[in-house]
Amino acid sequence: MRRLALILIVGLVALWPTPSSGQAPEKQRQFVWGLNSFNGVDFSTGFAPRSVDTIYVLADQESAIDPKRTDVYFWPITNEYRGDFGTVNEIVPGTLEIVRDGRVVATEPLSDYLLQFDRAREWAGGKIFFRDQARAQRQAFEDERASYVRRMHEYSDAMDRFNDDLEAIRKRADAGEKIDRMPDVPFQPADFTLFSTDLLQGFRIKLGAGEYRIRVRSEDGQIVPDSQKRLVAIAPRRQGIGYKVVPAEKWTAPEQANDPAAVLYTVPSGTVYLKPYATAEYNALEYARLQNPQDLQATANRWTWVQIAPISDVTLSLRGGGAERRAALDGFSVVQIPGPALGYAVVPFERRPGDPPPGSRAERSPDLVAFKVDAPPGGGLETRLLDGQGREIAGSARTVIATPARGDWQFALPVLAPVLLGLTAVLWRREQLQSIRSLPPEKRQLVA
Amino acid sequence: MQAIALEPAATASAPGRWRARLHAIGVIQRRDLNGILFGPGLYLATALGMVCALIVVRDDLDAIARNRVLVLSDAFTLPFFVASSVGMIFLALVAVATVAREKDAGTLETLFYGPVDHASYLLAKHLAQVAGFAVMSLMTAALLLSYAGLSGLRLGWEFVPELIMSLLAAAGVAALGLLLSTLTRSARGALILFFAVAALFLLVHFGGELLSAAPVTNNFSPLLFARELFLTLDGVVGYVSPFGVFEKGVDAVVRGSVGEYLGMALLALVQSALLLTAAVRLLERRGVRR
Repeated sequence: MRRLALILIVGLVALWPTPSSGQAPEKQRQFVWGLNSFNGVDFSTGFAPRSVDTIYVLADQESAIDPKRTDVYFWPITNEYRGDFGTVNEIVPGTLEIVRDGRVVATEPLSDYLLQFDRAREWAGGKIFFRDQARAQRQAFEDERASYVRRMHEYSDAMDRFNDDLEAIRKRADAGEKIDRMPDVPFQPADFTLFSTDLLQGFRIKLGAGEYRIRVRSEDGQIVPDSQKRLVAIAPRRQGIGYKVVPAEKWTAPEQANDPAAVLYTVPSGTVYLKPYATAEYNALEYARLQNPQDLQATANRWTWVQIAPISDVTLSLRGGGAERRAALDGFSVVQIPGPALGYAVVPFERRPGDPPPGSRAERSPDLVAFKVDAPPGGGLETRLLDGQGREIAGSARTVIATPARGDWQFALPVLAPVLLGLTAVLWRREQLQSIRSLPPEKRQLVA
Repeated sequence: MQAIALEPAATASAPGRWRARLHAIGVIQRRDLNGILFGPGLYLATALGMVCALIVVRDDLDAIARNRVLVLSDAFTLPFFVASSVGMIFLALVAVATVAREKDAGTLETLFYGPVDHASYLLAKHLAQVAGFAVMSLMTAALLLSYAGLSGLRLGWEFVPELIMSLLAAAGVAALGLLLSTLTRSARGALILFFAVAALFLLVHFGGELLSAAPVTNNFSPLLFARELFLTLDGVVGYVSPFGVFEKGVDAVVRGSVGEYLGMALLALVQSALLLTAAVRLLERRGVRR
């Protein structure tokens, strides 16, 4: 009994919750680099704490890095350091020094900047603005937002009027009056798609490809501790025009043809849709670390293609069978085929009379904007993109080949050729040796 | 064995010595090449390589029929790479066995009583093996051409520089085989050594590839250290191993990188020269006796 009580007491002491079990992560105030790095498509936001020794940016593209002080803690669930910017988010004043081969090649003062994104315009991936332009863009954003609010008010008023008219018509109809015309339904204005950050402070970075070192020199002339980092401006290994290749039968499972040497194989008379993009090929590790400096998934022995932006205002030249034709980018809709088969068909996009007007929230748009390419029954087509002046766009040429169906036995036959050849050679050699051996010694001597 | 008249080193003039050496090289090379061409190994290795290539080609055609679309940078690069690698392994086995077997049988010692020196002997062997590989490559090329005609898959101009790169890499593989052959006293020992080296190269390369593809969840994987280790080793092996140089050269062709291709071609030549020189030095030091 006494032993049982002792065990219970020991167990209780061992399991008793103490302040250490369930502790909040230990925070440490550090100098960190806040990152708003352009990755070719959009802006990657992150930070580089003390544990990160290298920051990657795209060569010849504008990015911003912010010298900050914050509380850093290790988050064991994702095995990475995080910054408590909600509590401490101080800008460290100073001047950025960019060093290459041991000498300062550029200095950069702290400046205001902001990021804006607008999926309805051409900057779905975002744009960065510095200094005066940043302030002007911020003002433009506020003006547009105010304008949108005004449009929404007008829409709300129009809806009220519409409802009142509808009510009046209902009453007139109830009174036996004949109603000739119904009021037009007001369309809701298009969404306000522009997003803008507040004015931020950081250093503008735009560097040629290569390796640099960066540091912050404070106002008293000292280098800010922990501000020194290796900075690598990465350039693509290859770039050109890539395509998203959508087979007509599998429009939800597109393939990528980014490599300029890529050939597109399809079945005879098959249909594919090609959507062109500007593409660039980066080292996988560098590109992943550009987006997240603490990434450990990517490795340096791999390369990754990035589809930067879709291309419009181009035509596709298709050459095959001695003829050339040109195709324009067309819009297509994917329509469900009624019936139990649950299939779908890709059909040209058409506006219907009752569609909501352009610019309204419910405006219809194509499901796919691409070039339609019909493969020939056999052989291939040479395709290339042409710009507005009819010139070929470098890196856009591809070949589309329809592969015929063949029986397996036809492929197995060539494998037998070396076997038969070898058998012939060995047998011939054996016969030669046997015929020499059958000679009398003096003739064998002569042959030797 | 044909008698070779080589003047004594002290009295012969330099052009005379080289003429005799070239003659010795020619005779030994012809003898070895005949041995390779009239044996079954070369043809079986070619057929085996073609079977591997066939699997890759058939797989591609199957993917096109099922998926309706397949995007390939160069449909015959992988089949050719696989078939050539099989050929190179055959070549390496021939090279590994050759010196050790002749030494083991005592024929090497007999040969060196005649006017043959270490360099001309090994160079002749090397040339015979590279010539044997060239025959294999030509057969492989002809068969891949027939596949291109049958399947409709494109066999582009890239095939020519790939073929040249395979010959240069094969020269490195043959030189490596000869070096390993001179390292050991028996053919069996040489083969074991070759397989150990080849297994090490393959382990490092494919280990690195496999670990690169391993998922890292939440920035953690118990294999992170192993991955970094293998990738570092693979970075070295990629330049040391003739197979690695072949792969890099073929990759450069696919990407259209002329500079990198020429660099790899040069590296393959340097590898061959270094390995052959090392083999000659080793044979000189170890002697030709059993």
